[in-house]
Amino acid sequence: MFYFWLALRTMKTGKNFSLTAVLSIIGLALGVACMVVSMVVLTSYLGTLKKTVIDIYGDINLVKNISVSSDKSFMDSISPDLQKSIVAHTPFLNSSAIVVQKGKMSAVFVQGFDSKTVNKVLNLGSRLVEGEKPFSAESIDQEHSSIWIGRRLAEQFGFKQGDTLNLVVPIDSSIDNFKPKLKKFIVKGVMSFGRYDYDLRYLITDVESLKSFAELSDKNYGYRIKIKDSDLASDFALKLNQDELSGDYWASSWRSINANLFAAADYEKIIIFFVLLIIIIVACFNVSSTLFVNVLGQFRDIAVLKSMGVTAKNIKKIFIYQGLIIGFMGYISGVILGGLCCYMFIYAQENLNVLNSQVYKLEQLVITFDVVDILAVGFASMFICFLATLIPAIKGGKLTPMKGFRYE
Amino acid sequence: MSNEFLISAKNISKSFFQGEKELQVLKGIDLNVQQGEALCILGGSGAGKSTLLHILGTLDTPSAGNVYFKGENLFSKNDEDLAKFRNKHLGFIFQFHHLLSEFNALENIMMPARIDGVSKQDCKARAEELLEQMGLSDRATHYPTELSGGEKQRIAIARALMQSPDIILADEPTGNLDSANGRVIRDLFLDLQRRLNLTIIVVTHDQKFASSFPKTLHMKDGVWN
Repeated sequence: MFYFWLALRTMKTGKNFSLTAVLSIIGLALGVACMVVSMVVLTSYLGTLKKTVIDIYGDINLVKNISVSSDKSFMDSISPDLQKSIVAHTPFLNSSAIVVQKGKMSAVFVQGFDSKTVNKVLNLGSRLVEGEKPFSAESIDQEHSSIWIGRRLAEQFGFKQGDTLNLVVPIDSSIDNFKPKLKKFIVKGVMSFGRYDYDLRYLITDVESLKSFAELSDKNYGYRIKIKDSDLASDFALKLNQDELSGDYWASSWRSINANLFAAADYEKIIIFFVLLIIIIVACFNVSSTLFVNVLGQFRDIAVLKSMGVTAKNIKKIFIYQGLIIGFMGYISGVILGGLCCYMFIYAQENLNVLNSQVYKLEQLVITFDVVDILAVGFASMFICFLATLIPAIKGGKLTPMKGFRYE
Repeated sequence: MSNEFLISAKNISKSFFQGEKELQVLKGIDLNVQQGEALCILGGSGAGKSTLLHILGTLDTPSAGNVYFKGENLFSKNDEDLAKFRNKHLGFIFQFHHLLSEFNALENIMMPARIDGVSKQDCKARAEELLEQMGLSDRATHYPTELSGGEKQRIAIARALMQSPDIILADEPTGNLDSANGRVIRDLFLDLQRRLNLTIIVVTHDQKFASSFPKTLHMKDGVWN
C-alpha cells in the first residue's frame, strides 16, 4: 500500500493531477465511453428484440405437421423431465387474411389465442397502447368477435377502439377452389408489438372466433410454450425435435424466429468490441508517454528514493501503479460518460425520432446495462494500460541513482 | 578482509567514457574509516571526491576495486540487498537537499522508515523528535518550496538520521548555503558525531568547513594528495 500511496502522491502537482495525466485520463475515458455505448446499444438491441419475440411468440413455438392427423396432445409425447421445464403452454391458430375498409385493403396475419391460457405464456398485455387488455374477461364480447390490431395498421386505416373491422379470408371450396368469406370484428385495442412489420401485419383474436370464421379444425392447433429459462429455449427446441415429438410437431425457439439477426448482432458485438479496443490501445500510448514524462521529470526523485533504499523492483511498481491509476480513473470516467450518452439516447429516443423502425425492425430500444459488458471493457482497458506502463516502468527501474543526480 | 574498520575502500578506480575517450576520475583509491570517525574529504571541482562518496554509498559502482562494510564486500550483494543496506546503514545528505517536493517536511523525514515497511503511526514520533532536534517543529507540514535553504538542509539531515544509520555520507552539504547557515550545519554535524558517536564522511571544497573536522584527506585528480 505504501508504494501505491507513493505513486498517487508523486503523480500530483500540488493537490491536482499533472496536466499530462489529466489528458491521458480524458483520452482513455473517451475510448472507454465509445466502447460502453456500443456494448450497451448492442446488448439493448438484442435484449429488446428477444423480449419482443418472447412477448408474442413465447419461448417455444410448436407447429403441427399438417400431414399428421393424430389428435394426441404434444404434452403426452414428451418425457416428464422436459415437462418439468415447461411453465405453461397455450394453443393457437394462424390464418392469412385481408383487411378491407373504405376502399382500402391490406394483407394481414391473424393469430387466434386461447383466452384462458394465453396470458400465462405470452405477455400481450404489456404491448397494449390503447384500449382493453387482450383476453381479459371484460374484453371478450360474446356477440361480436373481438380483435386487437398493430398500431401501424391502426394508423393506416384510422382504426380506434370500438371501430368495426372487416376481415376477409379465403375458404377452401370444393366447387370453385377458393371463395372469400367476410366477417366484422370489433377493435378492442391497439397494440405495439415492438417491431415495425408486426405492427403493420399482426392481428390477434380469440381462437374460437378464428376457428369458426376461417373454418379451421383442431388439427391446425399449434402451441406457444413458456419454459423456466428462456436462454435454454434453443436446446429445449432441439431436444423436442430430435427425441420427443417424432415428427408430429416442429418446435422452434424464440431465437430461431430471427436466427440470422440474432447471430449477426452477436458477431457484431464481438467484432465491435475488438475494433473499439483500438481506441483504448491508442489512448494507452498517451498513458505510456505520460509515464515517460514522469520518469524523465522524476529522475532526481527516483535517485533519491533509491539512495534511501527503494529497490528497482519497487520503482517499477510505482510507475505501474501510476499507469493503473490513470487507467482506472479513465475507465470510471469513461463508464460515467458512456452512461450519460446512453441516457441522452433514451431522452432523444423518447423525444425525437432517432430510431428508424423500418430499418432497425424495433419500435423502441430498451436500454440495458449489462454488468458483464462493463466489466469486460474494464478488464480489457486495464490490461492494455498495464502493458503500456511496462516500458516506462522498466526504464525507471533501471535508472542508477548516479544517472539521476547527474541528469539534474 | 579485516573488519576492524567500519567501511573500507580498496583500490577504487572509476572511469567515464566520452565517446571513445576514457576519463579516469578515481585512480586506485584506498580508504579506511573507523566507527565514530568524522572524516572530511577536501578537494577542488573535478577531483573525484563526490564520485568516491557515491561509490562508498553504493549509489555508483567502481570500474575496479571493492568497498567493504564491516569486512563484507558490498558489491557482491544484489540490488535488493544493496537497497536494504542503504536503508538500514547509510544516511545521505546532498548539496541540493533533494527533498521530495510532493511531500511535507515530516513526510520527507519519515520516508526512509516508510520504505523499510514501518507504518506512519509507528515512525511519526521519531520523525517529530528529529524535527525538534533540528529546531523545526513548527515546519512539520511545510512543503520544501515553503522552506528556506538552511531549513531544507536541516530537514535533509533529519531524514538521513531517521533510520539511526551507521554512517552519514554528505556531499557538499553547505555548498548551496550562505556562510551563517553553513556554520550551523557544520556545528550540527560535529555535535551529532560527538553525541551519537556517528561515523561521518563529508566531501567539500570549502577549506574553512574542513578545518573543523578532526581528520581531513585531500584529493586531487583522482588520487590522495
